Amino acid sequence: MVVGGTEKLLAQMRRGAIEYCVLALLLSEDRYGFEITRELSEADGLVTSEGTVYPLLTRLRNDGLVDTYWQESTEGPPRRYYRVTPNGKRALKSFIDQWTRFRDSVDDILSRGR
Amino acid sequence: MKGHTTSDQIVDDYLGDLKDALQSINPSSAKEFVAEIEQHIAEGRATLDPGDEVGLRNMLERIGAPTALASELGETESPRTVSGMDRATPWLIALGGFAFGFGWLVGLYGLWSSRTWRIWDKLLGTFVWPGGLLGTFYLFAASSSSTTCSGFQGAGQTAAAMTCVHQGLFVVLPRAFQFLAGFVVVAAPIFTSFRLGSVLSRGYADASNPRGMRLVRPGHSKSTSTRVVWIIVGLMVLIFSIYVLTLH
Repeated sequence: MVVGGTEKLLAQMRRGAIEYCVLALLLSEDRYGFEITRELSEADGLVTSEGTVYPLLTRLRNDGLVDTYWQESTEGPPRRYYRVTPNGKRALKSFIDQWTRFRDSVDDILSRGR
Repeated sequence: MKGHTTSDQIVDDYLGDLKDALQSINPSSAKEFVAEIEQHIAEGRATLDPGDEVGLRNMLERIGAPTALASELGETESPRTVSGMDRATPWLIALGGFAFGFGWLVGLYGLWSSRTWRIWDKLLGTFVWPGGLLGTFYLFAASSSSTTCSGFQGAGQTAAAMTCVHQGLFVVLPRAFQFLAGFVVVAAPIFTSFRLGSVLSRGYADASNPRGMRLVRPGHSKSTSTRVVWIIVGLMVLIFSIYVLTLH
């Protein structure tokens, strides 16, 4: 496999996983877009461009996994807050189960090659 | 411009590039996305010193290159930009009435349940004319002939004592206006469907998009062949309407 192929694969995995990272962030509290992008971009290697998080938030909303509401801000214009829906919570739970198995299996196999 | 700093100019340039890069994205998604990015920039700038150009440029760098963002948004949006129902709706609105009215009702559902069209176009699709081109024929039937009767029909009198005049809106109009009225009645639903189809393929124009944005559609564009079909249908209906008018 060429290095470019690995990059592409990682980009796809990243894109798929970020959705659930957003859901996980929203489990503890509702957040607005800027907060979500900042949290994600602080995690190493998860987000290459903060702006790409917004299309993902739109997709989550279209899929009914999050919903939004506007709230006044003391520091400027109103903010659109995102909150996880019951469907979103179910999707996240299912992903966590699958992801844990997948991650453990991959780690196990990869560690044998060291 | 008063108060327009270098930082403002940097942001304006970035947003201008972003809008240009989003030309091929569904307009409502593009507009929402630009608004989100504008808000993101405003939030980010609030954490920076007003004159911190380096900080601002770094922030824009972190947000991402406009072309990269447009391609990401395109991947998110394009599969659902134009649904099959949306594509069928202008046709159903125009011709669905001939399927015993049922097709038009399905088109009406497609029109009102879709986020592609705005309220004025939904109203246009609903009322010009109800039933689409079938509504045109009903309008012709209603306007071309009506019966007005005068006289008394008291006891002992026969119906023959009454004077009945067959006339209608079109019939009482001068010949030139008859043609004009007929043309409007026929052309209106065709225009409506053209309009719905145009919004479907080009989206709505707005300040950032003066001529409307073109949607990304998977596969081959059928807009030219669709136009040809519409012109043929329009001509056939026009010929038919002239024929109906000349009968009176």
